Amino acid sequence: MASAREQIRSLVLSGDPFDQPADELKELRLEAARETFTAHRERIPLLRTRAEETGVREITSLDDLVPLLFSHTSYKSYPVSLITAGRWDRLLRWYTTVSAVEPDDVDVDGVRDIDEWTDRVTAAGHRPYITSGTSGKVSFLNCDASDLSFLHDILEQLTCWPDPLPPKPVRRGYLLAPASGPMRSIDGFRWHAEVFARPEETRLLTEDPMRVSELMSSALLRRRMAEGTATPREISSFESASETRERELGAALARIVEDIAAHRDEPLLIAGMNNQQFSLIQALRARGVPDGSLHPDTLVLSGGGNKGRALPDDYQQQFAAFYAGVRRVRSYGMTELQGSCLACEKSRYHIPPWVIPLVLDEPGETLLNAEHGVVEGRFAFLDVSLEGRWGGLISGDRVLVDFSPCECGRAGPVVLPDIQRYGDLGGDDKITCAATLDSYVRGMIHG
Amino acid sequence: MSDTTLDGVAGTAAGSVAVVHIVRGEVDHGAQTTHGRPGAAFTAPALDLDRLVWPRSEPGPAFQVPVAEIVDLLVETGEALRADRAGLLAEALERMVRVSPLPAQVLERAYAVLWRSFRRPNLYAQIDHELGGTDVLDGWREVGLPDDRTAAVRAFPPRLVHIIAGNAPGVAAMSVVRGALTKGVNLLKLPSNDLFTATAILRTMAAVAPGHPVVRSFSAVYWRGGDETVESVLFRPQFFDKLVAWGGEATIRGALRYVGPGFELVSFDPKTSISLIGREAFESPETLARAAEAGAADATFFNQQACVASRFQFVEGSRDDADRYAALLCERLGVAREFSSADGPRVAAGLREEIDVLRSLAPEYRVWGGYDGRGLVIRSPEPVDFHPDGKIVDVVPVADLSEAVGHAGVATQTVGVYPPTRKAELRDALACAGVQRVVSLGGAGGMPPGLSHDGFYPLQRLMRWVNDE
Repeated sequence: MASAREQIRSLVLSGDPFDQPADELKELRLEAARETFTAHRERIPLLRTRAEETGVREITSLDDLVPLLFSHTSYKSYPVSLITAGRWDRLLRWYTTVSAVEPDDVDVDGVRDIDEWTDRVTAAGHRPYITSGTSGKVSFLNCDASDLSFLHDILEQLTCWPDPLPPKPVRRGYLLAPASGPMRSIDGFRWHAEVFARPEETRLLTEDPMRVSELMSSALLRRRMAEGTATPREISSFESASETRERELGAALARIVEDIAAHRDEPLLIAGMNNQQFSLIQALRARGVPDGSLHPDTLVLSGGGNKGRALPDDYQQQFAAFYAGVRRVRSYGMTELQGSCLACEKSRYHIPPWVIPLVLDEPGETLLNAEHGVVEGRFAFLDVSLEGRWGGLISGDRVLVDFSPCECGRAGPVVLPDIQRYGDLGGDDKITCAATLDSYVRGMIHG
Repeated sequence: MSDTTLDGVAGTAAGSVAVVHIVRGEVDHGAQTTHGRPGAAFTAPALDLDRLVWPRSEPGPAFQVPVAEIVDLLVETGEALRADRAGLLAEALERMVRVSPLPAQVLERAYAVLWRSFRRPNLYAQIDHELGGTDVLDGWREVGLPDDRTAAVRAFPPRLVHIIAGNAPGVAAMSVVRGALTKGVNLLKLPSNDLFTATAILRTMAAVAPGHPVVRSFSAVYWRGGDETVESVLFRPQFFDKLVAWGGEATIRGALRYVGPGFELVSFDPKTSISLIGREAFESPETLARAAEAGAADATFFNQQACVASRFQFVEGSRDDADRYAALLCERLGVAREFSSADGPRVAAGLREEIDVLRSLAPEYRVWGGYDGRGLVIRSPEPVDFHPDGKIVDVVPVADLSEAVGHAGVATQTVGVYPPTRKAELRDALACAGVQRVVSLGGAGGMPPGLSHDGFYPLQRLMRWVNDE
C-alpha cells in the first residue's frame, strides 16, 4: 500500500487531480499531513523546535498544523553578515536548520561567493530556489530531486488545465528571462519551453545566468550604506549599473518584439514575469500588433509579484485583452508551493490535492476553515508533496476561499479571484516615532 | 459570505468607538462618519474643511496675548489634568485601552503624569533656552549689528498643522504646549493609535478658560493619514506656514509632496536608539546589576514603542562578559516600571522564527528569555538584521566602545552610556555619526524641556522669525 503522500502525489497523473471526491481527499490529506510532519520533524530542526515549543506531538486535526506553520521570513532568516563575511559553513548550518539538507551532504570548501555556495547545494542533489523581496534579502527555498520531478510532472500534465495542452514541442519560444538561475520561474519557463516549444527556435532575454549576488547587490549595498561605509562612487556605480542593465534588457526586448511581430501567425510560447510581460505588451502594441491577434495555439505564461516596480491596477485586464484568444496559464501560486492553484472555467482557483489550504485570521493564529461557504482570511497551507523542506507556510495574502463545491461542478475548496496582499491593503495609519535604520537608506537606491 | 465572516464584522461594528473632534476650541457635534478597518473601526465627525483654517487676513486669536498669561493658562491646565475633575482624561483613557497596543497600566501611568509637561519651570525652560527669553515672543527684541547698526527681531506666531505620533501619550501634551507657547494657530491631526489624548487635553484647557484666545487657537481632528482630499487642500501656504510631522516614514514621505515655497516641513523623524556599556560594568556584581537595571529601563520605555527605547546594546568585553550582562538584562526586562509593564506584547510570529533560527546557530548566537513578552535578549557577534521590537534587546560584544560608534548613524537618536564618565570620550564621535542625544544609561526616557529634540530647538524652529532692520 502506497503511503498517503505517494497517493496524493500520484493524483497528478490521474487526468483531473482537481476533481477528487471531497471526503476521501480530506482523509487522505490529513493522513499525508501526519506523514509529512513525522518525516520532516526528524530532519528539520526548526520544525522540531516549533513542535517542542508548542507541544504538538501529532496531527489529529488541521488545527494542530496552525502552530507549526512557518512564516515566509524563515527562509531568509540568516544573518546577512554570513554572506558579506563569507561564512559559507555557517550559512550552510543555517540552511540545514530550515530544510531537509544534512550539513555533511554539502562541501563548501573553497566557496568564493553566494553563487558558488548555491551551486554546491545544487551539486549535492538539492535545489535552493531563490525568491527576492523588495528588501533585497533573498529567501532560499529548498527542493530535492523528487520535488523537481514532481514539478515537471505538474507542468506536463496540467498546463492550461482544465483543457490541458498536449506535451508537444511545436511552438516558437520566447522566454523573457535569463538563460539560467536558481529561480523557480526560470526553471518553469525553461521546462515549458522544452515540452511545448521547438528548441532551435527558442529565444531568451539574455544568455547570461541570473546571479544570486546580483539579486542581493542592493541588500549588500544597503547594508554598507547603513554602516556608513558605502561611498558616493559606489552608490553611483550601482545606480548606473542598474541603468545599463535596464537598457540592455530593453534592447533585448525590442529584438523579441520584432521577432514576435514577424511570427505572430505561428503558434508561440511567450513566458515572462508580469513586469516583463507588461513591457512586452506595451511594445507590441506600439509596434502595431493589435490586441487578440496572436495565433490561437500560442501559450502564454506569466506571473510573479511586481516587486519594486508598480504595474497599473488594470494590468491583468490588459494582459487578458492583448492575449485574447490564446492559451494562457491562469493560476494563483507562489514559489513556496508546488504547482499552482489553477483557474477553472469559472475563473476560480482550484487548490491542488497535495496542498491543504488553511485560512487563518489576519494575525495568522486561528484557523477559520469551514465545512461550507466562503471564508475570508490569510492564506496559509501545508504542501504535503514537498520532500526538500517543510511545506507549512503562512503567506501575506488576503484571500476568500469557498469551501463549498465550485460553480464549475468540481469539488472545492477554491480561492476566489479577489486576492490582495495584506501589506497593500494599507492597514491603519498608526504613527510612531520609533523606526528602523531602513527608513534612512531606503529610497536612496532602487529595488 | 459565511457565518464566520459576518459575525466578525457585526461584532466590530457594535464595538466601534466614537472619536471627539475639537474645532477652534470647541467640541464638534457634527454628523459621525466611520473610519478604520474591521476590528478597529471608529467613528468621528465629518470634516468641515473651512472651519479647520484660520484666515490669513486676520491675526490668530492669541497672537497678542502676553506669554505670561499663556504660561498661567498652561499651568492651570496642568493642574486640571492632574485633578481630572471632569473625568475627561479618565474617559480618554478608557477609550485608549480598547485600541492602543500599550497595556492599560502603562497608559494609566502615562496619563497620570501628563500634567508634568505643563509645569511652570518646564515652560520657562523651553522659552529661555530655545528663544532666549519671553521678550522676543511678546515683542521686538533689539539686536546689535556690525557697524553700530541696530535692528529688531520678533518670534512671530506661526500657523501650524501638526501630524502627531501616537505611540506615547506625552507627544500630544508636548505638541499642545509647544503650539500654545508659539501663540500661533494649531491644527492637530490625530493618529489612529492615539485618537483621544490630544482632545482630552484641549477639552481640559477649554474647561479651565472657556473661549480663551489660546483655546480658540486649537483644532484636533482625525482624517486618514495621506487622504489627498484633505491634505492637498489644507497643506498650502495660503493656510499654514509649517507642517510639524512626527515620524513614520510614510508620513514624512507623504508630507514631502506638499512642501514648497512658503510651506515648510518640521520633521520629528522616525528614530531608533542604542546603549553602550563600558567594561566598568564588570568591576563588581553591584556595578553589573546597576548597568543591567539601567539598560533594561532604557530598553523598556513605553514597552519599547518609543524612539528613545534602546534596542541594540554594545558591551565592552568578551563574549562571556556579554553573556553575563545579557542574562541579567533579560531578568530586568520583565520588571514593571513607570512607563513599562512586566508583561509586554507576545513576540510576533515572524520575529519568533528569526530568533529560533539564531538559537540554532550557537555558540555565535545565544538567546535568553521566551516569546511571552516579558523580555528577550539575543547575544550576537554583530547587530541582528531584524528590528528588535516588543522588549527584545540585541547585545553585541565589542572590544572597545569606540567600535560601537560605528553602529550609530543618522537614524540613531539616543545613546545611553554606562558609566556616565565614559560619555565625554564618546560624544563627539557619536555626534559625528549622526546621533542627537548622549545620555547616562537609564536616562533615555523623558526628554528634559529646553534641550534640543532630533537635532534642533523645536520652539525656535516653529516660530516665524521676522526682522525690523
